[in-house]
Amino acid sequence: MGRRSPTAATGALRPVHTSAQMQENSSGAGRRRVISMVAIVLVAIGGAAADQAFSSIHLRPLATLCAIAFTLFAELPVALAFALVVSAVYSVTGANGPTESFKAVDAAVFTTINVLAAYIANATKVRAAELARLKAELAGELITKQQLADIASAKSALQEYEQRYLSVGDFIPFGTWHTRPDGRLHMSQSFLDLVGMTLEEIQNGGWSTRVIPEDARRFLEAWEQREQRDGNFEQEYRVRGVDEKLYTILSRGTRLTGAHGESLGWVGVSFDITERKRAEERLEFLAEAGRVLALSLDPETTLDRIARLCVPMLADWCAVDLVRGDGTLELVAVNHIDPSRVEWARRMREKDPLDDDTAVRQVVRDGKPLLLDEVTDPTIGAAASVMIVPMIARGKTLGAITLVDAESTRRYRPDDLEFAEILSRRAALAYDNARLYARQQRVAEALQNASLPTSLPDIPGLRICATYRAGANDSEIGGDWYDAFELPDGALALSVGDVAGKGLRAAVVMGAVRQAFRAAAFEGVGPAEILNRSNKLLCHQGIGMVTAAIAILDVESGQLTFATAGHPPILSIRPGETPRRFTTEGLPLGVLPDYVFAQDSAMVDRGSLLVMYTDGLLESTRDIRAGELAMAGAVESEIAAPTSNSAESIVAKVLATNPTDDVAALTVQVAIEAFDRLDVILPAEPESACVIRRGLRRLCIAAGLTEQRTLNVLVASGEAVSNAIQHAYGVDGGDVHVHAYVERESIVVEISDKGKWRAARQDGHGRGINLMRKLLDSVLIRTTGEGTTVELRLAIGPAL
Amino acid sequence: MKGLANFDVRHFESYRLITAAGEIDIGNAGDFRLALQDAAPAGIEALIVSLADITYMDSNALAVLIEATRRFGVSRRQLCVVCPPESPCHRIVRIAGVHKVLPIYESLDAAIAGIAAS
Repeated sequence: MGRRSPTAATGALRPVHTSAQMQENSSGAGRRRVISMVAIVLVAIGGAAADQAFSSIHLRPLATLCAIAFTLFAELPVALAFALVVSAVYSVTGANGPTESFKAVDAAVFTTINVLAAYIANATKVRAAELARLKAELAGELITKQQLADIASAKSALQEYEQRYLSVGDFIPFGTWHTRPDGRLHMSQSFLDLVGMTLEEIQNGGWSTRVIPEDARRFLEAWEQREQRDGNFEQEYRVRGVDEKLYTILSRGTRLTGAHGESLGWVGVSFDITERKRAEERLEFLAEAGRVLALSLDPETTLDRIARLCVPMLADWCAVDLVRGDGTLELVAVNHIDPSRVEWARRMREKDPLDDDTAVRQVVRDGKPLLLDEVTDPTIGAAASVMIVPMIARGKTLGAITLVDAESTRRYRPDDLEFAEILSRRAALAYDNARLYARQQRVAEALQNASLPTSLPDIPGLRICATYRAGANDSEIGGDWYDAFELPDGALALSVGDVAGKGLRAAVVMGAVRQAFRAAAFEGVGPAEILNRSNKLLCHQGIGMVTAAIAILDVESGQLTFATAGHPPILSIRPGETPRRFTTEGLPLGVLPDYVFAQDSAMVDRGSLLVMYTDGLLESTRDIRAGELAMAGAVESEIAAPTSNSAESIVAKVLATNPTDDVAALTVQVAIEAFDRLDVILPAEPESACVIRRGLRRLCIAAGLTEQRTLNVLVASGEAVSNAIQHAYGVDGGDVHVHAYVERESIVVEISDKGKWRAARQDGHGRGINLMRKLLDSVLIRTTGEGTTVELRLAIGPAL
Repeated sequence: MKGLANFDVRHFESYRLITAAGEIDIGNAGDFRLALQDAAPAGIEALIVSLADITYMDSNALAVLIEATRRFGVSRRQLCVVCPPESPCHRIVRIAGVHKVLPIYESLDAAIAGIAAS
């Protein structure tokens, strides 16, 4: 376009000038022709008059000449008419022949001559005009002086425009470019200066050596296909300048097309969009940082992510220091652009590459960022640039992030520091949040662990198992619980429940509800009343909603009394059968203070498995019905092939993967045999005495002993067990074996150890053995090399 | 297993009362001993130990009571052990024959009267 404008401008002026000239010429010629034709007519008339007046002269040739002359100015028909008229006039005026017939012939010949003369004159005129036109045409082909001047000015204008274009290109940071129709590339001097190459080097492939390879590949691919496009070209690429900085360039071009649609090459501009790109990247980086940091609720992970984020976007390597409780700084995270050098960076940082720990310390103390330029340390590199920004959250300086630019030669500027500060603030807040969250979680976990029973009742004839699983998102502790405890009358109380909500609050509520259950149960009230009381308490305190199932198992009779409050049913299953569902209608606790709960009871037969659980098990699938089926299947397979921990096993069978919600489950397996014997081996520890007493109490009651006789058996057995615990073993310890059974209307208890104690000689044991003898019908003590067995025997006796 | 027995101590003008409830065996006789010591530090002239709510005890508990009786005797302080008739502790004390050794009272009122009388 630029090259065409000068010629277009001169071409537009010339036609105007030429047409004006032509109009002027044509009007002058017309006037002269009319004057000539009038003069000729006058000459012819004059000649004819003279010829009439003077008979001595013959002016007939004058008439012929007039006819010829007139023809030169008039069209052929007019000229022929004039020739006939002038011939007739002269024939009349100059008729002086000898005879009349001679005069007629003479006039005819004269007329013919004049017509012929006019015709020939016309033919000559036409021919001459033709020649003149041809001559004029020939003359038009030749370049006049004016035209030469025009061309010269157009050319210089073109050169001027091109020069302007090129200098504009030189003025634009990375200039302009164009390709000639022959495909040769031209780039502005400013671009050549940027990459430090000559135009020849660029034309011989030097461009791609400076451009990031993947960008070069993409650019060249697009360039190859430029002719298939709509005539525009646009690509970005990153190029390393001669100053080793990385520039992002947007190259935009358009195709030049000739008058007939032919390609005249491409012309374009290279824009430096490094800054814009940087701003874009930073915004993206901050958005990404926000996402990454928000994802982590673990403080350690958060710090690690901060270090990862900064490299390579902000630094070649990055270190995060935290202020510890005693005010010292601890390096907690390091990342390096080269993974193999992370350890190196860690060592460097520990040695302190800044050569003064005080730099980081100063930042932490003042809470103000530092930008250190030209840090010359042989271990970092000669021209490194360092930024240290404080991590401030909630008005407290938690630590500092050190960003070191060691390998590349980017130099941090104040705006880099500002950016690092923004990032550091976000990182600090994320870390602080994670820390607070973790602390809260630790408390909640501790509380829950403290709330769940550490040991389950050890009741002969019953196997009680329990399990608790945190949800898939294990960072949130739930409020599910299980509980099992013996009541003073020997019954077994069982409960499971689920507090709505998560975290510390749920754990607190859970602990409170479980305690309320225990307190009520120890007062001897039934499941419905336990729920009534706990419900009132929960409603009164307004601390939340809880679902629960509670059951009390009379160990002797197998009667189970139960009540549920918005909770899944208790399952009871016997081998080869489908589960029975024990449930009562009941709202969750904490909804209506005056709600009255109902309870029900059922017999739990020998060999049954009782299963209590929280709804995390049923909700493991989206479909509750499917969850119930899975649950029934797991319970059936558990009773068919019991495992060592039935609760754990059932949960594992229902939940293929980790639960989404937390889950608590409790199982009670009732032994198949009737409870008519006790056979336990326990460590010879003081704590075992109570367990043995529980079993013996049940056996005595089952055997029909009175309360007094039962106490006698228990005290006598307690003496024997105490002896075994205190005297049988040394520091290494051992076991005590209790075998009790009913034989010939007597209850027999055998207490054995594999230690060495001589009953008779031991001081104090005399009293124990005497007591045994007073309490029972017979006491036999057998001491062998194997150990000692005390056999106690008491008649069941008549019921009182 | 903890919590087999509870030891509740109440302060009165002229004596202290410790009420033991539950079971005392080899596993928690030590707790019982400490509870007695804590209930009557030096300066407390009289201590009543109520065993009325005890459901089980054996010679481990008796040994603690005998030792306490001796200690109180040495320091010339008064110890009263309440064992109501027909209670488990009463039976065990009698069967073991230590009712002659221990200052047994049949009721709390009797024990309080005993302290006032001295």
